Amino acid sequence: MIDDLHAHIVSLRRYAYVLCRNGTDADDLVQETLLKAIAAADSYRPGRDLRPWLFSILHNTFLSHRRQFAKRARASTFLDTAFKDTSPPDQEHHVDAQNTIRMLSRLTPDQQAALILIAVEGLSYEEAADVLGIPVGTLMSRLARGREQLRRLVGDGCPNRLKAVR
Amino acid sequence: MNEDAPLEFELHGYIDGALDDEAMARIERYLETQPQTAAKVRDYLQQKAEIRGFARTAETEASPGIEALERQLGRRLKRQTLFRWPRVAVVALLLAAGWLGHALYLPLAEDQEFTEGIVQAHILASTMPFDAATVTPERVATLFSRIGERPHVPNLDALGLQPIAAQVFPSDEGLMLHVAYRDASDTVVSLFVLHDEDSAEVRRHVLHRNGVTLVYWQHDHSRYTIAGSVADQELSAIADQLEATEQAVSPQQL
Repeated sequence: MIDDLHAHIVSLRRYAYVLCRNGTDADDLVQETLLKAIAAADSYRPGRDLRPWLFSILHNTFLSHRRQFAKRARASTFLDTAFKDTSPPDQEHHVDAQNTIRMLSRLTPDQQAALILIAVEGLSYEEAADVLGIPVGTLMSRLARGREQLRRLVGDGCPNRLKAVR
Repeated sequence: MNEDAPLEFELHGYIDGALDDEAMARIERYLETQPQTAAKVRDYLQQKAEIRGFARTAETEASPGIEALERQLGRRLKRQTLFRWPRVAVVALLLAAGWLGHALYLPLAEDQEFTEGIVQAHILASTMPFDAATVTPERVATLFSRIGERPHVPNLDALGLQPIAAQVFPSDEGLMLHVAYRDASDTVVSLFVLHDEDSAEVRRHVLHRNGVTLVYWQHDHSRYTIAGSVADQELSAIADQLEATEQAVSPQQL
């Protein structure tokens, strides 16, 4: 389990990057997570899967600082939005993806966490629920609501994306 | 949705591959007849792919700060594993090592920093001049209470060992009490006691580091280590005596 620590930290960095939407904040978030993990190492039970333990620390850290991270991300979000029309036409797909990530930040932190853990880390519903400390049914509910909310938010920003269902 | 329409949760289970083959096929049959729902599922899949694609851009080298913390955490977790051997693992190791006596020799290379701290404290105690008056009952009571243990210096008179100094020092595992004993030939043996918040039973282990033999074990909340530049058997005899004196302390003395 401990031998997989490096792989888990790579996963943490990916998760943090999508939550924070920039490398600097993601770096800070992972560093604070690791500091907390070191301080709480006594509470780690050998043999227990490290991944949900580390992810739950990161998730709780993000929740406690999310206003701060959201403020920091505000400038880049504004600039991305203000200058998106200057992007070359062949980058349309890239803009769609950026819009999805931007809108992702408008979901509740719990919905964001559910979507990211499933999409990025490929966690099973049971594993993601374990990380977030919630029942599997709650996780599935957050996932369904989050996806639908994101679809609508993205659709508002890019009407073409939703024309098939309207 | 018609009567055969999947539940919303099933659509997400389909997207995430969380359904069995039969359910996946059932949903695909449904989607073939429901283009609006199929378009919605495509949107969900696309947003999932976009989130995953964005995450890939984070896969650059970790900052030096993260790398340093990763190493530090790795050491702490290994140490945690080392001092909390599950009973099954201990039995398996004992069988694998062909253990017949009291102790099991383990090359505890992964416990370097913690072990080095103990070894250095013992070597210092062995080479520094001591004032025997430092081990007063009041001082001992204070030191034991600081680490959360009962105030009791094990009596090793039967082995010719007298307590000559006591101190508390910080370790990565918490505050540790160090009591140094000396015999008539000036051989110094160190006892280290650390209070663990969790109760555990860890059988005796023996290891060697820098010419110092270490014997460690845990009983209930108390972790013990004895260190000395003496033979394994001698240190095991001291450990026997120490455990015997610990067991002789009645609850009223606590």
